[in-house]
Amino acid sequence: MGRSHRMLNPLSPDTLATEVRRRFGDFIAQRIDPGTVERDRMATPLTREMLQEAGRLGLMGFNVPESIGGQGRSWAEWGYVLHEIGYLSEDAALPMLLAYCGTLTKLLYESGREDLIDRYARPMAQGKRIGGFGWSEGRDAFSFITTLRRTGSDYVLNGQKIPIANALIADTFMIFARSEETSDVVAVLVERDDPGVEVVPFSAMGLRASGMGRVLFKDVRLPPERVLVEADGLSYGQRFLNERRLEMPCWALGRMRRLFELCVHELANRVRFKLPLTEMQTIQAAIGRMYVGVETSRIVVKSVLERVATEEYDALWDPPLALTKSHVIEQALQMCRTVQDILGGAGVFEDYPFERHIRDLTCLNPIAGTLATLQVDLGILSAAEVERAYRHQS
Amino acid sequence: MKFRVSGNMLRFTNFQDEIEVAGDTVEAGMQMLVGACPQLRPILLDGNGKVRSVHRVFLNGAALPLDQLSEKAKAKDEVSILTALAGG
Repeated sequence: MGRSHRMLNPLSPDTLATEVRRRFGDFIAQRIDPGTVERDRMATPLTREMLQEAGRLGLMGFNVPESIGGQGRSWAEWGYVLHEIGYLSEDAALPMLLAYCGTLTKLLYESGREDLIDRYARPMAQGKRIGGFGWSEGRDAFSFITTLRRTGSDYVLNGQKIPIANALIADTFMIFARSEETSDVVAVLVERDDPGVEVVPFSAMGLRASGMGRVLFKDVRLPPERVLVEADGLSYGQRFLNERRLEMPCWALGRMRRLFELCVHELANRVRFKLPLTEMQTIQAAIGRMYVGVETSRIVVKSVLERVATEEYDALWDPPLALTKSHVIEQALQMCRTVQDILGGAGVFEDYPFERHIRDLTCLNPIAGTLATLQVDLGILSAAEVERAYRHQS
Repeated sequence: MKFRVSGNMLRFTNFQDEIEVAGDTVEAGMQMLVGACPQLRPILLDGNGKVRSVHRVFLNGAALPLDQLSEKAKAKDEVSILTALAGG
């Protein structure tokens, strides 16, 4: 039809992208970006003050109601905002923790318990209290050895969670444990200064400013009001992880766009045999592959954001959300490999930015279910669907 | 009816992936299933005997909402359980 087409289409509506730059651009450029490399080298977490400032700007409760100090915006809008922050922020730990803290706040708000909303959700929405989510402990959810025991009117928590993002700076942890009384999984709220709580750094290869830690609980006494979920905590925890599978791809796609641009710019300025690398066909094909990864990821994320804005989704395990994480992170990992294939030494040396981006993106595979785990479940579901269709035909 | 169990549920059925049970509804079949595989009972059902919301149930490949487990089931029907649990 003669209509021009932009190759790198934006994910977010222009109004939201503009809003992000206007409201949060200076914070990211002046407060977050300058220390990124140093924090990565030293595995130093973003500071509590940084997250508090993010809270004052409205980033810690973007999609929780204004009545508790949030921004009252939709989940889809939050996805677009996370994407823009993922693109702008040199430190991938920022969008990661904003997304993570936001969901925790939302879950606490949705508990409907006024005591928990006042003590936890309200200050979290404003960045005055920082949260952490403790699910993993190096074994499957049916085999948790972190236990909660009733003693009189109180409870006692023992065990450990590894890792907890934000552990090094969180004030409050949502911890999943097995009840000694019922053997069911329960969720409790533990405060950092509760006697018997110990936090130990537990750094990963990437996302090193995210404050990853191992949190140990030794005879931690909890009053009954700290029990958030008394039964079927397995289902409750999946609500948090389900949301991760959309929010993480949103900001990861921002990081992919940034990595793509940096990589192409580097290639355009490298000359071999009197030609910029971008004029060599092998490199052009590699750029094309990366572009396909970015653009198909954008299409998937956009479609799912539009769906959650207009339709109901399964709050516990939604196939399109699992598919989004699977597709986007798979593309991100392929892009990391391609970048290293075509950049040579620049793809691995610390003096260049690429290896840090690659390490950060690589760490997204296990979060909220490995790609393999998600793909097994999607495979079972899709195989059942095909079998059903055949059964109807025959 | 025949229950098909997969993935992380198999350890609770002694790794039997197909289990035939009697019962004229999916719900009744589930009670027979946990009777045959007692380890599965606390995983599949809550303290009130209801299926936990973390599980997804399919009757002949079609998703069956957990509030419709009283659906009639025939001897040749297949009921699949998918428990999509992932780490943190």
